[in-house]
This record gives sequence, C-alpha cells and structure tokens, in this order.
Amino acid sequence: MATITFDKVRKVYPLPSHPTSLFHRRKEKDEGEVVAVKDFSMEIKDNEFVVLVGPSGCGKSTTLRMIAGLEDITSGSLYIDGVLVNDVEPKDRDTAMVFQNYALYPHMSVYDNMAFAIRKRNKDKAEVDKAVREAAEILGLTHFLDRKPKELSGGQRQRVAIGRAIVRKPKVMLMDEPLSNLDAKLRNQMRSEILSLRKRIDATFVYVTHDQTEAMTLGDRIVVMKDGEVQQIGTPDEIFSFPRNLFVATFIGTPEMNIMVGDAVKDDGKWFLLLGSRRFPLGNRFSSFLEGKGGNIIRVKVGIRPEDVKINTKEDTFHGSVLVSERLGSSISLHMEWNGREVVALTEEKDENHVAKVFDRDEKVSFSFSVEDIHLFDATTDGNLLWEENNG
Amino acid sequence: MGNVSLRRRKERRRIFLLLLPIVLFSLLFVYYPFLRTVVNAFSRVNSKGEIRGFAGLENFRYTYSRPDFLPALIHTLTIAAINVPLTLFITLSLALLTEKSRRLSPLFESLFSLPMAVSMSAACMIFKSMFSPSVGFINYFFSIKCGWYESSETALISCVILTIWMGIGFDYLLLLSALRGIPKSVREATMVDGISLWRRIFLVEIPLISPTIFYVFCTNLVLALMTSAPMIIIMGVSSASGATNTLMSMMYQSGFSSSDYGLSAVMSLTAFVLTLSFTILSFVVEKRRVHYDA
Repeated sequence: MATITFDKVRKVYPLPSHPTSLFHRRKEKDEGEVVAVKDFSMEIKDNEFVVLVGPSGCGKSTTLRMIAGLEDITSGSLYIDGVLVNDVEPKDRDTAMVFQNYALYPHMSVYDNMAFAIRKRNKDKAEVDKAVREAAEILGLTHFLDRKPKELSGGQRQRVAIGRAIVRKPKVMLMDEPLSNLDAKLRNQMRSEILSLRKRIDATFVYVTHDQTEAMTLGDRIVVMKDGEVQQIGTPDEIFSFPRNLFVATFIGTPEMNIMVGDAVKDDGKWFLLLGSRRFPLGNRFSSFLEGKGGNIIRVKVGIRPEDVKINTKEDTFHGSVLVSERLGSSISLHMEWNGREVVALTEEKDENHVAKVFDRDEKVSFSFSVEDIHLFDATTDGNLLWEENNG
Repeated sequence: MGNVSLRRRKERRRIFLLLLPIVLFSLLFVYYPFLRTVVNAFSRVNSKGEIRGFAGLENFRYTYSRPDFLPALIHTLTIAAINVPLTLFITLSLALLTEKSRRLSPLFESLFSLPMAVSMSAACMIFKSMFSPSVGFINYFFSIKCGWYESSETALISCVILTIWMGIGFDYLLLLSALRGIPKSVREATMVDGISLWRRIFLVEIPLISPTIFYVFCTNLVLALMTSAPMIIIMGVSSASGATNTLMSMMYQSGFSSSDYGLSAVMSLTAFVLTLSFTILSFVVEKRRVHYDA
C-alpha cells in the first residue's frame, strides 16, 4: 500500500558506458548521452495497478528500475508514500521486484529462495515458515518446495519469483516483463493468476510489458511510452477509444489501427471528410476543433480500427482486393489493398457451414465504416484532433 | 555394401591419423615417463639410469628412513596448507573488489593479473633481489633485518610468498570472470530484497561461482604439492640447506644432481600419491559443496 509520485523524473545515460572508454578519448563529450526517460510525471495511487507499456528502448524498464532504486535518477523527484526516495537505498524502499529471467538463486531450494529475504530480520523460524507456506499455497507451489529451480518449468520458476516477492509483503510490487519468457498459453494463464493475486495482496503494482494485451487486461491505468517520453496515461478504455496520438492509436489494439490520409474540407459552413473519391459529413464532434485550425482545407490522417471496418455491406463504399486473409479463430483478419495502401478488417462473416469465411487472394471486396468510429489526427503533428492540447 | 565398408575404413584411418600426434605425444612424454618412474621405484637403478634388477621395497625403505625425508614432506605439506587457502582468499577478495565494471576497471584488472605475464625465473630473480637481506628493497622500506631467502628460518615462508604471488594473476582472472558471469538480475534481486553484503557474498555469489573456486582450489593444490622451481632457482641446487627442501626439490636433486634414480622415483611417486589422495578428497567435498546448476 503506497502511493508513488514522479515529478519530472529524468534519466540520462552517459555514452559510451563501456569500460574500455578508459582507453578511448571521448570526443563527443556533450552529445554522447542517451536520454532514457524524459521528464516523467505521474501519481500512482495506493493499491493501483499501473502498466508501463511501449516498444523496447522506450524507457519503461528504466522507469521501473528507478522505483526499485536500481537506477539513479538524473533529475527530478521520486516519492514513495510522500517520502523523497531519490537517494534511498533499494533495500530501504520496501519494494519487491519480479524479473523477466526470474533471477532465482539456482543453488537454493524453492523454499529457501522464498525464505531467504525474510530470514535476515531475525524473524521467528515459525513465522518465516508460515509466510513461505502461505505464499506457496497461493501460487500452487506447495509440492515443489524442496525442488531446485532447474527442476521446475518456466511458469513454475516465475511463480517462485513472484512468491519470493510476496512473502516480503512489500508496499510496492514491481514486475519487469514477468511473462515474456513464457509460451503463449502459459502467459495467458499466468496473466489471470496475476490478476487474482493482485486482489489477494495489498500492494501497489507497477508492471512493465511490451505486450499491449497484457497492458489492456491487467492495468487499472496504462502508461504508453515511446523514446523515453510518456505518450498517454489513462485507463485501458481511454487509451483504446481515445488515443492521444497516432503512436498510441497504432500501438494499442490488434490488429493495428488502419491509417489513411484524407482532407477535411469546409463546404457551405459544414465540414466534410474527403477520402479517396468519397465524401463524408463530419459531425459536430470534429467541427469545432477543425474551425480552430483555420483555413478551409486541412490534411488529416484518418484512423479506423479493423473491427470497425465492415465487409460487403449494403452501402458499399470502398473497393479493394484481398491481399491475405488470416484465420484468427472465430474471426478472419482480412488484409486488403485500397488506393495503394493496406487496409485491415476483422470480419466474422460466416459461410454456408457457419465457419468464418476465408477470402481468396485478389478477390474483389468492398468495405465501409461509420464516420462515428473514425479517429482524426493532425497530418503534421500526428496528434489526435479531439485533444485540446493538440489544437493549441 | 563394399562401398560402405571401404568408406568406413577410410574414415577410421582418417580418425587414427588425426589422433596420432596426441597419442604419440602422451605415450612418449606422459605415460612412458610415468611408467618408467614406477618401474624405477621398484628396481635397482645405477647412476647411468640402467635397471639392474628388482629391488622390491628397498628404495622406499631407503628413502623414508633418510633424515631429510620427513622435513621435506613437512615442508611440502606446509607450503600447500598456507598456499592454497591464502591464494584463494587473496584472489577471491581481489575479484570481489573489482567485480563491478567501472571506468578504472581495466587498470585494476591488468594490475592484478600482471604476475601471469612474468616468467617464473624472472620473478624468482626479482624476488631474490627485492628480498635480499643486505641490498633488498623490502628490508629497507620496512626498516627490518630479515634474512628472507638466505636464512633457514624464513626461507620456506619466503618461497611461499613467491609462489602465491606467481599464482595470483591467473586465479584472479578466473574468479573475476566467474563473478561477472552471475546474472546481473540475481545481484539486483538481492539488492531489492535487502540482503546484506556479507550474506550476498557468502550465500549467493560464492555458491554460484563454486565450480570455479573448486577448479582454482584443485589446480593450486597440485601446484603447491609439486612446487620446486622457486626453491631450486632461488636457493640454488647445490646450496641445499634443507630449509626449503620439498619432495619435488629432493626429487630434482637426487635425480639430476646425484643421479640417484631410485630415490628420485620414490620421491615422485610419493608426491603423486599425496596429490592424488588430496584431489580425491576434494572431489568428495565437491559433491556436497559445489553447485553446477547455476
């Protein structure tokens, strides 16, 4: 149970960090640094589950490691429960961390791995034993307590790592891509176990992943990061239905959101979207923002999620040809070529046998979407037009 | 069918040819000398090295009843008893101190592994002059009057200092690379979990590098028991004061200076059996203390 507050936290790595730099004169002294995290500000609430998500190298792991105290903070302040922890040792932060590669002690049994951290405080042996057995019970490890990590499967090892963290009853639980080394099935199973675990223990969770599905399913709030900068902070719903910019829009959601280039045109006091040869009236939703831009014709990027693209409907709008059609199970992911671009649709259209219909390559298809479902982005800044700040 | 067997025969010939150099080498320079030593130990051998009949345990009785045998055995065991743990302690400490890669790491790594690059005879001569009682730097710097290599009380310990110094470089590098091979996240886990430095070193890091420690221990044990060169080079073969006599230096003297091949062979065999038994003993300990599953 703890709040975590970031106030303009920044992390800069000097370059090169390789030890041989002793022998190399550093010419590029000033430009030779990497900004891993840029002015990260956020308040994580007590007991909240926050997921940091982004492509590799976006600074999400660095941010997590700064909470743990494994990375120095270059500038800015980090508070845990209102206490400035910039210079507090990792051991005094009352955080626990689960690593991607488990980081178990390979020479110790499962029991010792879990008991190791709590034994130190001269605790009663019975108390340690109780804590370990409780954690083992929660994680289904009771039968494996005498085993060595190498005798366990990947999923069991990760459970031991989680067990090692929860026996300490930390205020803050940090997880650094804990499921990345597991296969898809196990990952799904562990994901739901983490969800139920979260309800059973009292801690603030910060979870790092590059997998947007994990982010969407686990997080109370998601922080989308790219190149060390926060792109958007919000609930999974907000992030999904109201992405702040093109990056968030395309990073969250599978298959990726379709992006097409069009123009918003003012005609007779009303705004229309020109896309290919088609003209859609844009509702009031967009009008006021477009007015603010000035001018009667504005280049925009149009985003539409594959699940909002309808295939072969009555009011056929666009005509394309099939590139690939992938069966995802109950639905089909249909890749089409339209106007030299690829447009993806998720369709559940059934054939006569009530199986999702697979399309042939080069088959002509028509598709449409409702203007209510589109997202409009500024063609130069990539910002979502509906975000006030993007129209300043 | 014929083709297959022809190909197989060719393949066999190729394998044999490839193995030939090392087989010849080991037969000539490893197994023959060893066998010859065993034979010599049980034979009457003249000063030309010719076998003149079976001697039974005569050579052994002769060797073990010599007044200088027991001191040599004790010296050998003393050297091993000081050398092995002390080398391990020093190299492990240095490795732990320099474990983290810092800007100045290459400097320290080079400094600590430098002894590796110094030839044994050069090191011996340098130490002899540094530890010289009259003009040596050590006595001058510490303002002491110690005989070091030239006094019978301190000669042995001075030799131990030298052998330790010579062994440090290689062992240090081995232990350092083993420590650096521990996954970074394991160390970080101990930091987040608030494991104290000592617990981390003794309960996590040392067990994790125990295979390397065991290797260093065994090779040092063999080296210490078989050490002779410093004693011979520094003390000079002729000036056998007895103070630094080890099984190996006695073997060398009897074999190469006095041409007493029977004595020499018994000495070698004794040192061999001693080394073998210690090694077997350490492998027994290894079963319980060394973790290979890192």
